Amino acid sequence: MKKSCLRNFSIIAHIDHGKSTLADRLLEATKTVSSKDMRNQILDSMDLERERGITIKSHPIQMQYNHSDEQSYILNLIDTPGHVDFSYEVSRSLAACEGALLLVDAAQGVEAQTVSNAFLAIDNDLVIIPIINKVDLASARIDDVKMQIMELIGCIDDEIILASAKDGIGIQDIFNAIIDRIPAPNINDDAPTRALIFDSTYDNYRGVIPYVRVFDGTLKKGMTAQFSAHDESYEITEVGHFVLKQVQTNELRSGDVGYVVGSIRDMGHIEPGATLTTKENPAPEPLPGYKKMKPMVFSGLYPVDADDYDQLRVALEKLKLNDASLEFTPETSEALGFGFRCGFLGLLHMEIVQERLEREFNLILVTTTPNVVYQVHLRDGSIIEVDTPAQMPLFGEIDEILEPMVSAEIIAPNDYIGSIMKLCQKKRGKYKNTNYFSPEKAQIHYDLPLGEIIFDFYDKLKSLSRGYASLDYEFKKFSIANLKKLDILIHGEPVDALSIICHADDAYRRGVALCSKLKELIPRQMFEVVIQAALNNRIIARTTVKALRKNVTAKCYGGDITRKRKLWEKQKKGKKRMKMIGKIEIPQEALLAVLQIDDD
Amino acid sequence: MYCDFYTITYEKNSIPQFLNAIVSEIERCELDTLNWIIDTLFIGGGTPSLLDSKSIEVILKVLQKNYDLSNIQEFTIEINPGESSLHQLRNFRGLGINRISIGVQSLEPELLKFLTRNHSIDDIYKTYNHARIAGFDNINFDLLYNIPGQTIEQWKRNLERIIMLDPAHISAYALIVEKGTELHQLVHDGKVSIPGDPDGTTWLSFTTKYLSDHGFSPYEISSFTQPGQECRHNLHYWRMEPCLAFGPSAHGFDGHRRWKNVSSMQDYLDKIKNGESPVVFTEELNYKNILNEKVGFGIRMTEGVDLKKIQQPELSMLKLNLEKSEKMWPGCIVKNNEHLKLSEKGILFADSIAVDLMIG
Repeated sequence: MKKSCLRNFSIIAHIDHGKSTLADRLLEATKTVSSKDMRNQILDSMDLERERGITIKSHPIQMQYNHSDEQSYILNLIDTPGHVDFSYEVSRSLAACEGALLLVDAAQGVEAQTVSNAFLAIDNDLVIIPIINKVDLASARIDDVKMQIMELIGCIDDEIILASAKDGIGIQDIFNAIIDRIPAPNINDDAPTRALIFDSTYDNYRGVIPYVRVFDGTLKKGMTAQFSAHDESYEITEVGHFVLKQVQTNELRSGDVGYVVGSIRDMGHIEPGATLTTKENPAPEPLPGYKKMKPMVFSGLYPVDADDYDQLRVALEKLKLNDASLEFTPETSEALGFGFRCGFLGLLHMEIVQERLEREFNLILVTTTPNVVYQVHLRDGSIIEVDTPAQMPLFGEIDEILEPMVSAEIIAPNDYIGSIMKLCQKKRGKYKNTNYFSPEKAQIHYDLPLGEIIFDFYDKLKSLSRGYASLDYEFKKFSIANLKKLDILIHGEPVDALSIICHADDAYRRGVALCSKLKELIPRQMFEVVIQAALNNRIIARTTVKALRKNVTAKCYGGDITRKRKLWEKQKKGKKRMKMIGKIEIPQEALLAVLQIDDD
Repeated sequence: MYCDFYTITYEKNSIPQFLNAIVSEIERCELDTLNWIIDTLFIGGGTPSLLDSKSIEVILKVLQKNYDLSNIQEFTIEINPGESSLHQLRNFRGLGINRISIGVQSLEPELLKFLTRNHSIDDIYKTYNHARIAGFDNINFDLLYNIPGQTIEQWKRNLERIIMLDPAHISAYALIVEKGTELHQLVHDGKVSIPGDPDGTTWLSFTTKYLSDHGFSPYEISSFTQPGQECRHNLHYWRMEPCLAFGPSAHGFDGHRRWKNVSSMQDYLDKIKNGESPVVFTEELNYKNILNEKVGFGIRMTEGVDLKKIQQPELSMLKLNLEKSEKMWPGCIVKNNEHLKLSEKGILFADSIAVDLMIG
């Protein structure tokens, strides 16, 4: 097949603008999936994705499309996530493409991840095909949204396709644009082999399977794969494409998207962004790869059952294969035992990782309160990075603490600007400026402490704007802040897993709120439990959980046995995520109590 | 009013139909009981004393035809005060019934009224006397505490009077507020309040101490006995031993499977008449469920749980939970010689400890 008949593209959009539905339509129209196998969100193969209605992972798939020029084209689509936490995932996929469909909801208009994803595409020199989706909605505001898109990517009116993925409107126009506007990849099969690893999975039988985009040269069974990052080499036993499942082919040539099998057992040997080459035709220089994302949000992950520690380590290694932004290092907590300090891109990322670990690896975990990473300048002139409150040096040793600041971009209808600014102000934000995409839609810029926005900022933003505001942010710099470590003591003993770092002005209020929240969340035990909050060793709040009431002895005959056992088993289930701290049993919710403190 | 299990209003003309139904159910039962040794019989639930001895004889005969009853050591009937005449009690005794369980509940008229019990204090004494005259020497009294309006002094006085009657056995339960009952609504609406534990002690601790001091040893959380008069039938339940059950709302267990018959008398009669099974619920127990029942009910008894009888890998799972629970419940759990029990203090938290010991 001639290479000019190949197109590699992604669909990028803000969350809920209809990416997965558009992908479904494209798969249907090309008969990639028989109508019998068709279901909604077909590429979202993870249960978690389907349940939440979001895409977490990029999903590559190949389609065969017969165009009106009577040519048959191969289209490689890489479906991408839309949430801010997964922008790294998007940028990896885009590096494997020549073009991107930029999908914008006709009612919602341009939102924060529309902007950030569009910029990612522009940075990758991709051809962008703007599409307004859901044009048949009663609330569609096509003219206004057109204006916003033109303002965003500098295109002209005629280039914007009007579509409704749900009802199949505009699908033919989209195919035409993919063929006509997106350039075919360069063909240089004879050049030294260079393939970009953009993802990978682990298969128990076949080892690590990297997903690659071949830029130069070819990959075939029998060749020896080498990597830019280390000296290990592996014999290639299979190459193939993605058509819903992996389908074996003879070779992958320049421009192709596919997978490589080589009995790669060491999970550390495959890192997304690295270049795969061959011994037969080695490339002297690797591909540029991509900028490594540094996790900004940290939390401890501990198995409820200490025996699961090794299993958790293996599970984290496997997850990291297709989630390169996940970082983890072993950690020991006095309260929780052995676990891992894990770094995430954001709270959703953290939630997703925890859920995947539990579902895919059958683990029961507790997570500790997430926090950001701090830079601590010590009196002796040294600088350390602290990603858990337990590591915070003693008060007397600290010269100053720096916290990460992000530049945040909030896009919202004009009506909500006032309340959004109020929220940002409350979260210690520094106002930068406001731009307008259209007379109705504003883009507000703030510098905000990351520590203030990882918790409930996004939810608050959504609720005060009735869902219309969207947020995107990126790390800017570390800056000095008046931060304090707030300790929580149970029975007079500080519990490392419960301490938090917070702004001095907020410490007293948080200490009080944390104590009362913990009182609510820690179940009654046999004895009274004393909870205290302390700042620099001084108690600032105290509360007690009263002792458990005695059980009542009801009559218990044959008929009551099943009922009673079921009640016990139900209660047991409720206690699944409990950790023993000393002789007190603490539920998962208590470890995350700080997330539940309302600051109104 | 305080019972959430099935009770039926007495309708004399429905008795023959009921008898036919129960006889058919027994005859149809296909459970393989060849290796069973049946040593207890229990007629109870609702108001069995409303059945006359003739009816019970019919049921006994069909049981005898289908099962080996030669090993029966304990044969109990539950009766309410005032419902059985001396004549009837004599006939019961004549049928081989050797234990009688009387639903006294309280010796305070106003508390009985609150419990919507129709009997008088006089009925209690009359039934007791008739039972003695009829030759019953194994008598149990069912008593309730924690009734709205009840004081610990009243309770003590009641226990005193009951002990003076020298019963073989006393069952003392707390009144519990079950959802869906009239009492639950009253408590919910604030019209009555449950007394809760008295100052400085608990109903259970007080009862246990008082009865122990007077020769009634606790062998289960709510059961107190004179030497050697434990209720064997209940021990079968609590040791998770198999049990056949017939009649509306009856619950059976064959060692692996539990089942329950339909509760409504009319539905029961209809199902039997139509040749259908009256079973409306069955449940296969896995090894975890069985262990959890053994532990949960075992720790309510003074004999506790014999760890030597528990197999791997369940034993290791249980021991892991035990280790954790010993920390959480200091002074509550007693373990000696591979025997797991609760201390006097622990028994007050039996249900909560059961949850922690159970394997997930």
